[in-house]
Amino acid sequence: MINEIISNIKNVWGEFGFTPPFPENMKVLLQSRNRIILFFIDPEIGNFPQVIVKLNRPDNEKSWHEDYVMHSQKIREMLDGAMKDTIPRMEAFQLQDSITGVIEKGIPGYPINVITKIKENEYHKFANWLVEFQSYCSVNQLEISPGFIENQLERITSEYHFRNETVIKIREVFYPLIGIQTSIGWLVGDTHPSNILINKGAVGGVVDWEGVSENNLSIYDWYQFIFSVVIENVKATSRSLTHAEMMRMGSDLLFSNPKTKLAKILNRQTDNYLISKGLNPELKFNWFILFLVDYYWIKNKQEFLHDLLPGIL
Amino acid sequence: MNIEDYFNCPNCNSDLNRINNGYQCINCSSDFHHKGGLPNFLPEGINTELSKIPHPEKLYRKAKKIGWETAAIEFTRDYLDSRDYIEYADKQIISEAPGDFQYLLPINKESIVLVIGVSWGNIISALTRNTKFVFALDVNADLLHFSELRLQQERLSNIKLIQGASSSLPVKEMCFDAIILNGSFEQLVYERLNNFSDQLVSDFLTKIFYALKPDGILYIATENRFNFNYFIGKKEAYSNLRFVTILPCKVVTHYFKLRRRINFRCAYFSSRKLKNMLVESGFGNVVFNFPIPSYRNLRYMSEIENRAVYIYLIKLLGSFPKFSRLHSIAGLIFSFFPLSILKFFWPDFCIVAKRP
Repeated sequence: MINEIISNIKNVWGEFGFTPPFPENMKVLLQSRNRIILFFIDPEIGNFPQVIVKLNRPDNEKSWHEDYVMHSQKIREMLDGAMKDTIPRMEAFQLQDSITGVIEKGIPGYPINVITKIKENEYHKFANWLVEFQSYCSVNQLEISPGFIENQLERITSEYHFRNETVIKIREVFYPLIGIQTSIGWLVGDTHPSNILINKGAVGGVVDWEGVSENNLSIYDWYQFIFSVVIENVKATSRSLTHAEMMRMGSDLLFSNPKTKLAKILNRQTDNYLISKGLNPELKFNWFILFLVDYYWIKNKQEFLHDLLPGIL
Repeated sequence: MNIEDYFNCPNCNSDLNRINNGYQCINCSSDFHHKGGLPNFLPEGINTELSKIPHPEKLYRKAKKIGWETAAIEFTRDYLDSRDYIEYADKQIISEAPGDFQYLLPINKESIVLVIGVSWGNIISALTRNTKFVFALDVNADLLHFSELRLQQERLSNIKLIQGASSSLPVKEMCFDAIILNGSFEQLVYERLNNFSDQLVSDFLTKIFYALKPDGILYIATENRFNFNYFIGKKEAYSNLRFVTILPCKVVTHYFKLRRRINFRCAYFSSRKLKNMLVESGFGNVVFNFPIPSYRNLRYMSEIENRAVYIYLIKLLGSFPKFSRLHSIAGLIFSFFPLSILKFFWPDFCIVAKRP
């Protein structure tokens, strides 16, 4: 299939701003996870992929490539100058009847490394990037109302069958948020550190826009980022944990017992982020619980919240 | 697709005629009857006990009753003595990801592919989805039957399974666009432990060469004889002994004959030996790819000999939790050395060779 993939890349090579012809000595790095990703690297241009091709598996019926490419390119058009360059150019394509894919223009930089070294500066830069991104992509303000809170509580009662005492505790956590105005708009959706590319000490790009969505609380992107950072650390240090155990450890590490260097850094950065959004940093834990209930995507969310929330509350 | 158009007599390489319940050679009149519903081209004296599944009838019965996927998980839990049995079943049996190497090969919906060694059926089902037709050959009937059931339940029909030996490959010339040996190159050695010679490997590769169409691709995924893990005491899988792969073959063979009174030969080769054998068989453009963590559980694959690719890979792995600080430091240190050193000690190879 490599020949068909290359021929699709050649179709957009010029449009992506590269000088034709397509280099013959391109090296390919294959990554096999939920999707198949091919990184095309021309060593003469640099140590980063010039083009990235993402393919869905033919046995995976769900294909959402066209939607997310359309949304991410719409967002790209909303941005200016250097910010615009941090979102990759993308084109959706059909490889075979059953395989759809996306060709993405590579962005120089490396993913934030959260396992082997912790660089506060990189987290800080990402927080700044996010604040700027949200200044372009926040479409409205939402005032957290008692009705909004009750809707959330009703959902966890009916969908997740929470006990009454847990619902009462969650209500207590949510109530200080009432009356606060916060922005809603486009979310990156998957601000996992591996999707944030750092180049020369700044955020060079944000990749993987499959989770892009509209009309959500903007702060969720930040909580997604910090929670992913701690979860990756838990994964690296503690093996053979169940998913719920991992999440519980991550939450504890982040807010209940923030003694580690990483937790202190993330707490500090969260305070700064909330202040720059005009929000009270003392409510960071309350926003975190709202993020878990309202937005955080996970398989078996019902089971997960049921195990997790009573513990961390 | 007719078997007789692609396969010939394993004894004399002559054409086959279809007969009742099997095939007959038009030259030596050998009969090859279906066995367990599958064409059987196994010659005499072949070791078919490779990758033997414990209690195959139970697995097969269960797979028929509750579906192959659930049966595989339960079977792994019951018999494979693995603590992380769900992860093992998911990665090694259920997932089609080990077949993702196909995206680096020049095959498509028009390709006819021969797979030697069916394993648990995950690679053949992955290939079946993206090619015109797949022929899959294995010595082990249990694995073939499980794979057949899996494919039936997945409703994949553009495939034919055949019982046969790689050491007597019954294939016709210029028939296939790609031939895949994923972990089955060593099978050739184990099939003929009693009378193995290097000539057998050369003959096998030459036969593969001629079975490919011009521009056809051979893909071999195999372990490296000089895998660095063997230097730090990893046991060789077949003999369950340490250091047997890195010692000279003659010494090891004599040791086994004298002390254990069995025939043994290390089934792995070094990168240089593999390349030489492929080139001598006529293949041009032999490219070595390096899988991470292994070809059995494929996560990344690339030509690491290029420094730009290697450095990018190391940085990419930095955000992967199982890639520890030690790995990262070792990876960066190695980037200052000639990358051919890495190639020499890398655990596995995924080789792509092209018939000119």
